[in-house]
Amino acid sequence: MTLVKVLEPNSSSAISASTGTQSDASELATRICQAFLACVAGNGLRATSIDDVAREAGCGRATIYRVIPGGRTGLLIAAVDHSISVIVDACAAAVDGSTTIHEAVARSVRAAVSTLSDSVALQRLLAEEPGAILPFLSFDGLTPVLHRVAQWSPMLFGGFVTDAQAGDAGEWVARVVLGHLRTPGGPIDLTDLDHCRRLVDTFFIITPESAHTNL
Amino acid sequence: MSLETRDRIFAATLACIDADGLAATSVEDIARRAGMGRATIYRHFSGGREQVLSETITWEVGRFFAAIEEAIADAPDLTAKIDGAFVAGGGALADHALLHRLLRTEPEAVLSELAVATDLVLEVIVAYITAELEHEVLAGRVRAELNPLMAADHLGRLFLSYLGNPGRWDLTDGEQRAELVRTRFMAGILVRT
Repeated sequence: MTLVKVLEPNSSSAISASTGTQSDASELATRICQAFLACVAGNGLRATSIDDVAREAGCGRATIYRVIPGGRTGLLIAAVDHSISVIVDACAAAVDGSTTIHEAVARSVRAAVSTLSDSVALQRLLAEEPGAILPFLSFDGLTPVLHRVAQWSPMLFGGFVTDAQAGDAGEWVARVVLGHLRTPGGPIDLTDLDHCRRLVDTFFIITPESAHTNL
Repeated sequence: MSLETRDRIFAATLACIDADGLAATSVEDIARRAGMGRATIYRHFSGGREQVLSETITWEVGRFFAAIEEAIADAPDLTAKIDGAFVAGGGALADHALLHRLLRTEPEAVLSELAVATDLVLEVIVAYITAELEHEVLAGRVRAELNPLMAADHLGRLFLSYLGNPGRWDLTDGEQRAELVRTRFMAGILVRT
């Protein structure tokens, strides 16, 4: 059950980035997302216009409205999804070579935190215009993010556990990482792999498969 | 500064937000509803409207978590306290009509204010859990080698995460809640038998 009904930026229809064989359209969508994030990083969201994004992406305004409908809100939704894909790619690279699920989860946490820390656009939004990004990360607004994480989790952790357990692992990573997003201080430094390992070794538990049948 | 006056101003501000929303609430509205002059509001909140609104949200969030703390005061151990906190917090969140409305009508404004207030609350929650963990270590229920500060920080953030969005867990279902608390919160820290 979800407790609070908030924005529903899931709009999976509006979110199309995919890491399979990319068509020209999705490559263009990726380029537009990257251009949008570059504009936000440079000028902030409020000062970013569709014209700015078009100039940065090297395409026309009409192309942006056609590829990613919905104006700035549509761009923000697409950019959030694009950013999740970037984080998943970073996690996949970090997980490579892990020999246990715990090591894979620890490396994923660190990779996700590092990627988010390095995102100038996100850090600027959190500092200057948190209201623009928090609806995607709070209350019911978090649900689409959790769904996207669940989709990617078998790719990251499926080599160690069942798909359902991999989904749990992905959700655990997402909650830990997002829990530190606004307040990264405290005794746990998630940019330090040893801290991540200690956290995972202490708290990350593989739930038996049977526990999934009732939920 | 009189605490009573501040509380009157907070209560009046909350009533104004309830009636007109965050964006439409002015210092004049607050003063009228509180039965005092504008100058009194500015004397207590030199930052004016923005400060009153921000501190009112923090005040309400503080009351929300104080009610949770009161609800779990008699719970016998940390497992029962986390379970009880989900019951009290989940119920209060579901019943908070004003929050629901603001999340629909003014999500950016209310979430920005809530984020600031929740950061403050996180510190209080972590301090509370740290004290509980130290008690649990003495009672022999929690592993002695546990770092209480690190554990409390993790558990506090995780509690807020699940309270805000429980994902696939139904927090109104006692069995699911017990499973969530056991597997996600306590399994890593309880003495293993």
